[in-house]
Amino acid sequence: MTVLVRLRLALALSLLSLCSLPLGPALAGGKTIRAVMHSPLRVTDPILTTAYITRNHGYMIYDTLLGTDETFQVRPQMADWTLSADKLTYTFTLRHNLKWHDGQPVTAADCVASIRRWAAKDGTGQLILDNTAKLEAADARTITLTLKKPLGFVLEALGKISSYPPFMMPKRVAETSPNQAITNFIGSGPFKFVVKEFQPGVKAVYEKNKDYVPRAEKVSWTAGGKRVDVDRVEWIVMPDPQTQIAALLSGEIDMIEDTPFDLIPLLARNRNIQIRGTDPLGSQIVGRMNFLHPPFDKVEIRRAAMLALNQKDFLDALVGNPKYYQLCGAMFACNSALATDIGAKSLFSKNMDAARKALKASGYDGTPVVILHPTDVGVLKTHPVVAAQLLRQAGFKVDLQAMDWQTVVSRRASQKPPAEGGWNMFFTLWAGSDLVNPLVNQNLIGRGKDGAWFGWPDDRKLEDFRQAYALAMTPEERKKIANDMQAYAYDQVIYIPLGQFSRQSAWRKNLSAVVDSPIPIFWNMSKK
Amino acid sequence: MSYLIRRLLAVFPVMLFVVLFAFFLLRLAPGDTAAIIAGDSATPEQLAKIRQALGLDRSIVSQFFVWVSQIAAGDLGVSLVSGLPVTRIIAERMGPTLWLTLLTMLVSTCAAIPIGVIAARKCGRLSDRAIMLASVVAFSVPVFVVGYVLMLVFAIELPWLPVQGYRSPVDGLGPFLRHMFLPVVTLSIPLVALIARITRASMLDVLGQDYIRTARAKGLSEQAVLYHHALPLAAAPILTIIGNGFALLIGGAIVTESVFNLPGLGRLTVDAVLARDYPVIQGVILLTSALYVMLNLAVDLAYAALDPRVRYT
Repeated sequence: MTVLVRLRLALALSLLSLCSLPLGPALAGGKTIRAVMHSPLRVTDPILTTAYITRNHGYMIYDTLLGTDETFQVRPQMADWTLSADKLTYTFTLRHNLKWHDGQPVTAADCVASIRRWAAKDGTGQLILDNTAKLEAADARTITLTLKKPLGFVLEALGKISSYPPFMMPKRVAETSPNQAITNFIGSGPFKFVVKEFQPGVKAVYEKNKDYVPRAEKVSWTAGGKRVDVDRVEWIVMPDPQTQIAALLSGEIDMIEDTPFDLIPLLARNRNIQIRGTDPLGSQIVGRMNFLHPPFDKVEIRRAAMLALNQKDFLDALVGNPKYYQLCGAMFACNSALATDIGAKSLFSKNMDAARKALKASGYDGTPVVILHPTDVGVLKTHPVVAAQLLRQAGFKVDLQAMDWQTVVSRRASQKPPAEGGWNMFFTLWAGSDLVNPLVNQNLIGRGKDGAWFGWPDDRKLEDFRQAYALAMTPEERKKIANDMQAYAYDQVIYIPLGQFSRQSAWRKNLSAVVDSPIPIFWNMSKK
Repeated sequence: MSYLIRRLLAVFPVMLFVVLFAFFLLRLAPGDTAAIIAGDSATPEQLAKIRQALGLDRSIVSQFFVWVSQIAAGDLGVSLVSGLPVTRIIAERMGPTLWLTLLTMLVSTCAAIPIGVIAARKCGRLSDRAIMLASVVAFSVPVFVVGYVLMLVFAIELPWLPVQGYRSPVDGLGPFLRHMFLPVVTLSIPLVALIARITRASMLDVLGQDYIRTARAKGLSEQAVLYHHALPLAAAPILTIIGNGFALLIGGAIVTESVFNLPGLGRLTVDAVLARDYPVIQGVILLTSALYVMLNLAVDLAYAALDPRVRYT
């Protein structure tokens, strides 16, 4: 018998013996949903970061006073509310039977402390606190919020689904500094966080909160009854997309939250797999210019650049299949209550001749445009390349600088000139839920070097629009202000929306009742 | 004994260099942990507060002395991102990497040495050429390609083994072996090729020596000549490659860990680097460097144990 034959025989015998070994308790089925999320959970305090995965973790273990449903209406969740006739005093009454995960009752004092911790970090929360005369626990179940002047967005802010949702925590936890990570993860939400099984970069585990009493209404986004039909949910980190696909096909995991577009065809052929975009608000590609330095400190040059860019080229490069994207000029996200295409027309077609003429007329002197190009994140690495090509075609001189995303994150915070480590343009993605109105859309803050988002536009008019929106009391008023603001923002090229796409989730068909929502939710879902 | 003591003492300056290197070189890389923690919407004021809370606003020298005093107390600090102790994080990620390394080295060594010896014995013949050709191919194909092919065949088409994941031996030998099988085979393929080639070359060198001819002339069987006389004397380069392989696997099995989703040290390092989680990166560098130094020492000592011609003074 030759050595090779012996080796082959040994391999076959080893495989056979391994196949006969029992599968062990960890794979023993049961009602456990195993999901690969869009990114690993690292930071566990949802008031410390705006990372979407941490927000989603927050929704697993915490509850909110109010929720938002699929018609963008704010609904009661932990509490019902009344508003005084002078529109100054909100009274929130907590539901009966609300308990923390350690069995203690949820009190109004806990919620007041939670609101204060949240408001210290969140922009809309800060606006509320700045205009608050009194925020207190009137009794064990009643929270009163008395304003100095009527504000139109109080309920919207408390029920919001964008980053920094106002999650309720026990008072002793909520009294932690908002800049210091909490270490106690007691919530009152539908799942409990299994701290001892948490391994950053490996997995996060949640158990059903058996004491949770869901609302009676039908589930809708973050509103309605949060009924949990499984015992455990495991968020498994799997860095390799190909492995994710193989694990879903083999049944080792039940769900992939964000399936790479180029690998979808591998799953689409399988009868046991369902693929669907569950977030109706999708994600937007956004191009941001630096207002502090030439050439984009001049509005005429920003306009020429916007003429050179068109959404289809960006979406084709990133997504490829038009089934999963839409041309979308809405700064407040397509499919949202404030969606409109006002001002966006040029983004829907190629206007290279017009861009060249506009650039020539603008007096552009050939200053290089430094574009930050992250090369390590699949969903972010295509936009700078497309932009560089289009801007060059229009006559811009472009300096495309490759780096990792974390370097982009640090570099984009630099206000120095591009030649000294600064920049002229970068690209990112926003979830639609973080764009849905002028108060949460960070791109539209006009407070210059000290208060605006990276790029730092200093524009009083933008702040006037935001202030007017905050005070508007009717949906009609708000819609008008949002339309006017968008038209103005496009005219000044405050930023450039480059199309909206729907991330595709894939799951095995033994999962049912997967709810469409801007955040992935595991309540209501069941597993056969 | 004096050689051993001298070698052990030499570990200290090496580790001191590693400590300095790990700390200050990392600080040269661009990136802001606070910005990574806070996310896209954080204001400069919020970032400054997070930096203050993490101690990142202190001078680099002051941060260095804090870290060194922590090490002296047997503490590697806490992760800036997750807030968990670095020792706990590393301990949790050490198991998969150590098992992967040990099993891979065991399988590779057991397979490669006989193959190398056979190739040397049959030098120039068809079987030798076939082995050498196969070793070139095995060493040249990227690890991830081998991994995907094995996964496709043995986990998808023939659903015998799991695609991914890790089970501790504590959970049962069956699940543990099932999950380690494909990663170990994947990593072993290039290592078998490498060790077999080194073994063949080293054996060819020894087989031409006079004392081998003498052993054969005494009437010893070919097996005894090869494995009892020639192989120990050919061991030095083989041991070197095995020792280096151990160290490289502990620090660098990142591709295999990613493809088979093993939560090991390689993946931890990459995650920590991308998040600029300095205490974790520093902890991993310290640990892997210490292991590397210890393995080199062990290899040096093994030379003397196997080859009577080697004596240390």
